[in-house]
Amino acid sequence: MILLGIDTATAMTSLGLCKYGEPPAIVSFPGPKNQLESIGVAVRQLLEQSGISNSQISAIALDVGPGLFTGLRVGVSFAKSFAGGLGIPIVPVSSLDIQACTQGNCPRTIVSLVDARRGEVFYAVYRKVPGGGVERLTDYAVASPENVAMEIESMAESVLLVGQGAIKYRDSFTSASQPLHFAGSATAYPLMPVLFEIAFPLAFSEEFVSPESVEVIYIRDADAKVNFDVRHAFPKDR
Amino acid sequence: MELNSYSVANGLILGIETSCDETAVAVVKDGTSTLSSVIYSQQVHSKFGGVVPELAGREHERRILGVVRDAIEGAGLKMAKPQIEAIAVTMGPGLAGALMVGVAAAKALSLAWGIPLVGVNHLEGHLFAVRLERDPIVYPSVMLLVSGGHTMIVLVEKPGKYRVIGQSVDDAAGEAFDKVARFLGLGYPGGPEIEREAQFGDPKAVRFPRALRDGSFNFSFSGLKTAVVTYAKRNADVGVSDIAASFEDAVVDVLVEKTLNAASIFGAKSVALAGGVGANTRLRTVLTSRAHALDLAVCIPSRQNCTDNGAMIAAAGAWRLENFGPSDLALGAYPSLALP
Ligand SMILES: [Zn+2]
Repeated sequence: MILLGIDTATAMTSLGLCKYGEPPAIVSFPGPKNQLESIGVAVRQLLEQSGISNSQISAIALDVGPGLFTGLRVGVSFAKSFAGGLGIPIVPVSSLDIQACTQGNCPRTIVSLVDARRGEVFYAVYRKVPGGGVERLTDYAVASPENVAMEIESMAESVLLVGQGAIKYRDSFTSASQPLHFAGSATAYPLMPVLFEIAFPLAFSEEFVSPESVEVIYIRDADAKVNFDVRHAFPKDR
Repeated sequence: MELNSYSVANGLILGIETSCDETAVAVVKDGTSTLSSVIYSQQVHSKFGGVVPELAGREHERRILGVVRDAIEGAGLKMAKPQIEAIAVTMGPGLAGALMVGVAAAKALSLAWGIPLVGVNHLEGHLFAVRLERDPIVYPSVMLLVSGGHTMIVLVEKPGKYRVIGQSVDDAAGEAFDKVARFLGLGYPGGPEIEREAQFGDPKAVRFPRALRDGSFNFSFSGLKTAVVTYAKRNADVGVSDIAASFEDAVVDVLVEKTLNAASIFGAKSVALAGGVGANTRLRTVLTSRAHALDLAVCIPSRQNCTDNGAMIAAAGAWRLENFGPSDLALGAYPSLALP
């Protein structure tokens, strides 16, 4: 089974191609700038260099967020259309889950955080599952780092924070009374090999969705509902 | 694939348009005949009285694949391997987040189906809409491009050779319709709302100012808008339908007058209409009758081809492809792109 991996949810863009059991081919670059310009070129390059043709791809492993709106729209629109054009399904995976899974051997409670800009983070809480892997204990949410710090304080146990959202707001968390640990910068963004690690078992058990029914995990409302002022509306081009 | 050497074999082009709040896809043959044209008009913006960029982007992302599928199947083709020769997509101008969805989708389909991609200027797309249903246009032609975002008079010497000879210095015509409609307590979008209200009114009820005498081909609608607001406040006894009709009459008068002046000064053989405001009945009727009186040929697309649609993008894309070859896969989105 061969999967195409697409991750445009954070400030690190990754595209990958992976045949099960073999090392993945990956193209990664700092984003979110140039995501639109690069995405098609990167996928074509991966296919050409791997000698893999479109018809050999079984499904797309897709990071559906939460993350940066613009990047998600580019990646998800591309993934849906590519899958729709080839008649293959999509395995949607959350950016926060990918980050938490890098810490699957950690005995502590894990808080995975993605920078949401505008002074907020997307986050969710995980714990190790006996026998390997992690399970998510909370819904995906968005809050200020200060509010997340208060939530961590209430956990009263040793906590590991992972992701760029933790690194960027490190100072906001260090007031906690319990022992806090920060995962290294190598796992600060969703990693393509981990996306594949999560997606393959799901694809093998056919737990995928049709491209049309893929839903982005936005969490935060569009600016519209937050603070929309009618003067900011654009005239309809009609 | 060499530049300038690409030619379309069966002539089928898929056109994708997502520059504003219409998710639109069409299949067009030979750049002129529409096999299918699917338009999803986003409803989420109406309560805001204008298009909210972030909501537009999300809606495009949700709808794009379904609209592509409907257009492909509507043309009697199959999603798995449609016999399409190329994909044309709006690359600008427009809302950045909205354009990006269309360009990303077009790239994905181009890779999935192994066919070329061609980026199209949305404004050029509007100018190509007339080719979807009329006999070949007689050039040079003076085209009036009026929409919510644009109001311009373009001298088209031949396809691809454009000269903008006048444009709005403030609000676009469609924007003026929106603002006046909102002030009069009518709905959104303002164009169709004013038009609906105006049919019950007298266009000669109020003589609103026409900014015609500056001698240029530029437009200004903010003075007219202010005049309408001031008049309505001072004359509460005058009905909304009379004000709407008189306002519409003033806008149409200015648009037609300047277009026909331009046609005469630049020696045009025809005048054409493009853009969403081109769906306005009064504008269509007045332009046609006054141009005919001057012995000018008139090219007015159907209402569906005036408003944003995928077919016009496919039509312009077919021409671009034939004359300039495909675009690079590194194509971006260009929110403030000008006419080529
Ligand atoms: Zn338009």
